[in-house]
Amino acid sequence: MFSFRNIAIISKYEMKVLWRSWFFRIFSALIILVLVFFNIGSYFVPNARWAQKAITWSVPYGNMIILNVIQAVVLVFLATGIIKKNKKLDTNEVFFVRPLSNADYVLGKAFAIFRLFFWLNLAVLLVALTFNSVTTDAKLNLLGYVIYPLITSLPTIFFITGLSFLVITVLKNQAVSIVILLGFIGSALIYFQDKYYFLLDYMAFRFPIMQSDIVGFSNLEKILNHRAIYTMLGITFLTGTIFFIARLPQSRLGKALSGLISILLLAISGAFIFSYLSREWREQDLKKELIALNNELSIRENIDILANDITLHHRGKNISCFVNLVIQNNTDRPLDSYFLTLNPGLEVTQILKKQAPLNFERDLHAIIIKPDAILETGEKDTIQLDYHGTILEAATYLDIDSIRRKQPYRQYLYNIEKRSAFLQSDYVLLTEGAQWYPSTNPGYNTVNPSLNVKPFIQFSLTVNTASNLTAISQGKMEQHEAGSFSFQPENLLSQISLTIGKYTKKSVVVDSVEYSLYNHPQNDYYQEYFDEVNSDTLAMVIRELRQTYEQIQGLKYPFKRLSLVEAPIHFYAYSRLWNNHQAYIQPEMVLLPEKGGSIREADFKRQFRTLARQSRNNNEVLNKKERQIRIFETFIKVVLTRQSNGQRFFFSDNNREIANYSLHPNLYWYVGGIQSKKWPLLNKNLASFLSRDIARGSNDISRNLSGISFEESCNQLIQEKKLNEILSAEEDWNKKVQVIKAKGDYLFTYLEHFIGQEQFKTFVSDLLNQNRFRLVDYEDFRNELLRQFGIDIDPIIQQTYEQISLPAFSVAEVKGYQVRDGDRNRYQVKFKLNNLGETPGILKLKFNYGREQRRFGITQPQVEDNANVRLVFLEGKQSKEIGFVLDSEPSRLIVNTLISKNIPSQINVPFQKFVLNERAIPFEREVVVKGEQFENSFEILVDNEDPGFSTSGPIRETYLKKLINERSKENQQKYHGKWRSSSQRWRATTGSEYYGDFVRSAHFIRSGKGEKIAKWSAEIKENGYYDVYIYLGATGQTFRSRDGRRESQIYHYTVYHDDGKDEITIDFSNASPGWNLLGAYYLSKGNARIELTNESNAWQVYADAVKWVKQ
Amino acid sequence: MKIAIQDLSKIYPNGHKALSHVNLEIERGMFGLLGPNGAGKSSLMRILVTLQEYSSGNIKINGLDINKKRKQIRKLIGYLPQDFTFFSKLKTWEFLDYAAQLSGKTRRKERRLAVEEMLEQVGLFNVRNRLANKLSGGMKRRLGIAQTLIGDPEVIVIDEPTTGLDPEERIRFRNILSNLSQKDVAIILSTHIVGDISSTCSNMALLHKGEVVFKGAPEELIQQAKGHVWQLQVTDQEFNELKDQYPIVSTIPSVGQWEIQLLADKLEGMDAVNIAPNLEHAYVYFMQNKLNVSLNT
Repeated sequence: MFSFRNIAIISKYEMKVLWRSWFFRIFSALIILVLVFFNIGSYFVPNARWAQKAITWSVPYGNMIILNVIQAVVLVFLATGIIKKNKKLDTNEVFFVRPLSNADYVLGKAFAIFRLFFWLNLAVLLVALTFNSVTTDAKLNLLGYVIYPLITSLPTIFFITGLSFLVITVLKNQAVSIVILLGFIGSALIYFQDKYYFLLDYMAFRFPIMQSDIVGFSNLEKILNHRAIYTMLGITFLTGTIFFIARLPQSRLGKALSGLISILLLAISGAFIFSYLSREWREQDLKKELIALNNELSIRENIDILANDITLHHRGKNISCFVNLVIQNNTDRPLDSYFLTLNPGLEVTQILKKQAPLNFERDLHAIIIKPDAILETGEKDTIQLDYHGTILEAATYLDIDSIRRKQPYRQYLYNIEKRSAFLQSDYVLLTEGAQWYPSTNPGYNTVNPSLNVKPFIQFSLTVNTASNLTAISQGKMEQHEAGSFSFQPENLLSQISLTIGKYTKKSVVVDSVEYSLYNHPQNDYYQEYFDEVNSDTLAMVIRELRQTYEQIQGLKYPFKRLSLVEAPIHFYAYSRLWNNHQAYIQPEMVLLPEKGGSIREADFKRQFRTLARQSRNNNEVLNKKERQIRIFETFIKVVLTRQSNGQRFFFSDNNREIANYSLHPNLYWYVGGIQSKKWPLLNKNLASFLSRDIARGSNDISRNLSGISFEESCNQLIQEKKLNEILSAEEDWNKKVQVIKAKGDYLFTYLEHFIGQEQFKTFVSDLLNQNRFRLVDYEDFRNELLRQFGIDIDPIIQQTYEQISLPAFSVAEVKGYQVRDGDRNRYQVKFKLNNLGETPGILKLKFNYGREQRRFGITQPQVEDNANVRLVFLEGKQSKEIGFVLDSEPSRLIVNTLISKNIPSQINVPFQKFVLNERAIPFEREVVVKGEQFENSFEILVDNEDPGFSTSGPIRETYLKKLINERSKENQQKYHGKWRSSSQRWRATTGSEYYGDFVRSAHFIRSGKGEKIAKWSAEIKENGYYDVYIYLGATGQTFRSRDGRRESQIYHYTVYHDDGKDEITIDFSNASPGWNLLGAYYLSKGNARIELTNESNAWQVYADAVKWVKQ
Repeated sequence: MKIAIQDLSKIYPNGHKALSHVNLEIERGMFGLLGPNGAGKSSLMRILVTLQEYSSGNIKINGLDINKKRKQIRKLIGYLPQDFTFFSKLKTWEFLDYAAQLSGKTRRKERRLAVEEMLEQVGLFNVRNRLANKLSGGMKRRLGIAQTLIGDPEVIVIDEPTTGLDPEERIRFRNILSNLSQKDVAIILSTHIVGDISSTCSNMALLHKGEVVFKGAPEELIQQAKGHVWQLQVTDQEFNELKDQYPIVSTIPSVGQWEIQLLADKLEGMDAVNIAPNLEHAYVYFMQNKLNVSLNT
C-alpha cells in the first residue's frame, strides 16, 4: 500500500521546501525568541518564583507547553499549505502521475512536517537545556527533555497535522480550513480548557502532566491514555486524508484499505476516548454510591474504637494489614451488628474474634459485622481484621463538589494532578482520608454534611517495607531492622498517617520534643543556607519560637515531636466543611510540599537577598549567623506558626483554595474539641475563634470589582437563608466557608461580651486542658457554661445560626480631642452608635495607631491584638454614646459590624489631629441614648441613596455594546466596582469613606464634558439663609490626571437659589474629607436643588451627599 | 508502444459531455491532438495520464488497462501540464532530482548523471543551482519537459506546450520534442496552435465537441483543402464584402490594400491565385466545410 522509499523521497524534498519557506523560518525564529525570553523570565531572573523552578521537571515542561501552543498554530498553516490542491498550479499533477500511492504522497508530506518539527523541537530543547544548565536553582533533569516532548509535542504534531490534512482535503479551501483550525485551537485554549476532564486539551496546555522528583508522574496511565487519543486521532486523520485525497488511487485495493484502516483507527481512538472518560465516570459513580451508602450508615448506631493496633506490610503497589481493634458499644442500646469503614480498594479476607471467624458483609467501603453475640451497652470486645489491596482514591473527598474537584491545581504554568493518596512501590502516603485503616466514621453524607466526629483512639503501628525505605508516622518510632518500623503514640489520637519513602531525616530535641525534618535525599538544597546554625543555636531559636507561639495562641503544643515531611507535589488536600485545616496538617506532623514548592519562603536564596535589602534600608548590620537565624524564623513564622504573613501582598477575589500549613490544629483540633451532633460546626467555629493565626495577607478586591466586598455579599446571603439552608444549597464554597466563620465569630464574640473576654478565654483553655486527647460532649460544655456563667448557649447558637434579620449600625458624631486626666494628657474619642435595625447585634471596635502601611493604595491590615478590641452590644433600634480615653493618639477608628446589613461591613473613621480641650472631662463609658432624634428641622440632608437624588445624562451606546450590557449581570446589581465600570452612566459604589447610615455609598461616573449630571433636590419648608454643604469621600489623595500630571481635581457644582444659580468649583484633592461648605444662599419655601456634572480632569467624579443647614 | 482508445466517453457530474465515443490508436512518434478550446483535449489528456476517470469505454497502453493497472501505467507516463510554471522552493537540479527519484531512479550515481545530462539537454545546466521558481518562463517550460522526460517515459503527454512562449523558445521546445520522437516513445501533444503539430507530428486527431472528427496524417487533412485556398489583393470595400461571404484565413495590410487568403470552393471574377494549403488552412477549411463551424466572427 505504501513504500518507505517513496515516503522518504517525498518527505526529504518537501521538508526542504518547508524549511526554505520564510513563513517557517520567521515563525521558528520567533518561537525560539519567545522561549529565550520565557526562560530568562521564568528561570533565570533572580526573583523568579520558587514554584517556577523548584522541581527539576519544570524547565523542560514549561518550555514544551509554550512551544506546543505556538507550533500548533504554525502547523496549521504549514500542513494546510503543503497538502492543498491548487487548481491553477499544476505542480501536484506532475507528482500525481508518478508511480506512487496516495499513501506515499500523504505520508511523505506528513513526514516532511514531522521531520521539520523534530528539528524545531530539538532547537527549543537545546535553548531550554542551555538555560537549565546555567541556572543553579532548577536542577538539570535530562530525562525531562526526552519525556516532555514525547507527551506534549509529539501527539500535538500528529494530531494537528492529521486534522489539517483532512480538513483541507475535505473542504478544499485553505482560507476556510485555516479559520476553522485556528478557531479550534483557540477554543481549546480559551473555552474548553479543563472541560470534560481535559479531554479536548489536545495541546496538553492545562492537562496535568507535572512530574514529581519523589514519585514521578504518579498518573502515568492517565497521561498515556490522554496522549494516545490524540496520537491515534492524528494517524486516523492521516489515513482519512489518504482515503479522501482527490487523486485517483494507485489501486482500488489501496483505496479500500485506507478507508478500512481509517475506520479501524477511528474505532481505536474512540476506545481510547471511552477508556479515558469511563475512568472519570467510574469515579463519579463510585462517589455517588459511597455517599448514598454513607447516608444509610450515618443513621445507624455504631461502636466506638478504643484501640487500633495495625501491622502493615508494604509490597509494590499493595499493602496487607493485620489490625487488632478494641471496640466498645457506647450507645445506649445493645448492638447486634456494627460497621467499620475501609477503603473499597482494600479487600478484607477475614475478621476474627478470639481466633474464630466473624460473619461480615462488604458493601463498597463498609464492612458490616454481625457478631455471634450481641454487644451490650458498655461492653468491650476485641476483633482482628486481615485485609490487603490498594487504595481507591476515588473514595476520598466525597464532600468536594465537582466544581472544586475540577478546579485546576496549577503552579505557574505547570498543571499538577491532584492526588490524595500514594501507594506505589517506592512511595506511600496515606492519610486518614484514604481509609487505610478501619474506622467507625461513616464519612461524608448528605444527611448531616457537616458532621464528622473522630473520637480519640489508642493507635499503634508496625510497618514492614523495602529495606531502602523509611516509614514516618505518629508516635515514638523504633526501627528494628532495615525496612521494619514500629510507632507507639504517647497519647490517644483522632487519626494517624503513614508515609514511606526514600527520606533523610534531620532532627533536634528541644525540651524533650523532637523536631525533625524529613526530605527526599536530593532535595536538601536548604542545607547550604543554614551552615552557621548549629544544633544548640537551633534549639534556642526553636524554644523561643515555641514559647512565643504558645503565648500568642493561648494554647500548648502537647506532642512529643513535630515532623516536617516533604510530600510529593501532587499531594493535594482540600478544605473541608467541618474543620479549618487540610490534610497537610497531621497530628505532630506537617506535610510540606515537595522542595517547598508553592511556599515562597522556601526560596532561601531569595529570602537572603530580600533580607540583605531590608537590612540595608534599615541600616541594620547582621552577621551571617544572624541572617540565617532570621530567615529560619521567618520561614517558621510565616508557614507554620502564622505569626506573620511574610509581607505577602496579593489581590484575591476569594476564588482559590490556598494551602495552609498552620500548626494550629496541633494545638486544638488534634488535642480535643467539642463533639455535637446537633451543632456539628460548633467545634470548627471554636477552633477558628481561638486561632490567632494571621490571615494570609490577601486583600479582598471584590469591592473594587463588584461594588461590595466578599464578606458583605456573604452577609447578604445570610439575610436570605438560614445556615443549614446555605450549606445544603449550591452556593459558592468560599461563601459557605465565610458564612460559617462569620456565624461562629459572632457567636463567640457574643459570649465573650457577656462573659467577659478574659473569663471566656480562661474557661475554654481550662476545659481543653482538662479534656486533653478526648472530645468534650456538647451537653457537658453547655452545662458548664450554664453552671459557671448562667448562660444557656443552646438558644444563642440557634439564634445565631438561623437568624436572617440582621442589625444595621451607623456611626455618627465621631469626635477626637485631648483631655486632661490627672496630670497627663490623654486622648478622648467620642461617638454615637445606632442600631437602625430591629435585631440586636454586637460590633467590634478597634483603634489603629501610628503610621498606617499603605500599599497599592490599600491600607494594610494591622495585627489584631485582642487587648485593643472592644465589644459593644446594641439592642434593636438602640443608640449608645461611647467614650474611650486612650493613652496614645489613634489614627483611625475601625468599627467591625460583624454580621450586619452594613455596607461596608467595616467602617473606618480616620481622625484629624487631636487638639487639647481644656474644659473636657474624660468620658469612658457606654451610655444608652434615649429617644435619639435623627430628625433635625434645621438640616435637610439628601444622600445619593435618598429619593431626592437623581442622575441624568445622554448615553450613546452602540448596538453591540447595548446588547452586551443588556446581557451582562452588571445591570441587575445595585452596586458596581470602581475598577470594573469605568462607567458611562452614574453608578453606585460603596466604601467607608462615603456618606450614609448603614450603607455608605456614592455614585460615580467617568469624567467627561459635563453633559452627565447628578442632582440632589429637597423641599425647603422655611424661607431663610441656608449653608450648603457637600460630602466628599476619600479626598486629599493625589491622583494623576489623564495626562499623567499630578494636579488638582476640579468638581463642578451648581447651587440653585432664589437669585438664580451659582456655579462653584471645588478642588477635590485639596478638600478635607467629610462635609465641605459651598456657601450660604437665601432659599424660599419650595424646591431646592444642587447639581454636579461629570466635567472634571479627574478620572472619575463621585456624587455622594449634600445638606442645607438653616442659619 | 501502442495506445488504444476505444469508445471513450467522459461525462462530468454537471452533465457536460466532454468526450463522446472517442476511438483512437496512437503508436510511437508524435501525435497531435488538435481542436478548439473546450473540444475535450484536456479531458482526454488527463484521462490518459490517470488524473481523471472516464465514464465509459476503454484505454489500453501496451495492452495494460489504464483503469486497472495504474501503477504500471504511471511508470510509463511522463506528463507536462498546460500551465506548469509554479515551482516550490527547490533548486533546478533538486527539482529534477526529486522527479527522477519518484520515477524510480534510485541509484544515486546514475541519477546524478541522468539529471546532469537532462539539464544539458534542455539547456539548464548553467542555472542548475538557481531556485526553480526564479527561472524565466521559457526555462520553466524546459524544466517542465525535463521533469517529464527524466523518468524515461514511454508515453509522453504534453498539454499546450508552447502557449505563452516567445518564438525562439517555441522553436527550441519543438526541437526537443523532435529529438525525442526518434526514440520508441509515443508523444501526445495537445494544442490549439496548429503550427506545433504541422512542424512535428506524423499523426494527428481533430477533436470537436468531444468527438474525433478527423484522424490521420496532417497531410491527409491538408489534402482535403487543396484547391480551396485563394490569395488575392483587395481594397477596403472589397475586403468588407468578401469578409461576409468567405472565411478569411489571413489578412496582410499593404498600401491602400489588403492581401488576403480565403477559403472558397470557387472564386470567380476575382484576380485570385489558388495556393497550396498548409495545416492551418486545412484546419479552418475542415471546421468550416465539414462541421459548419464559422471561424470568422
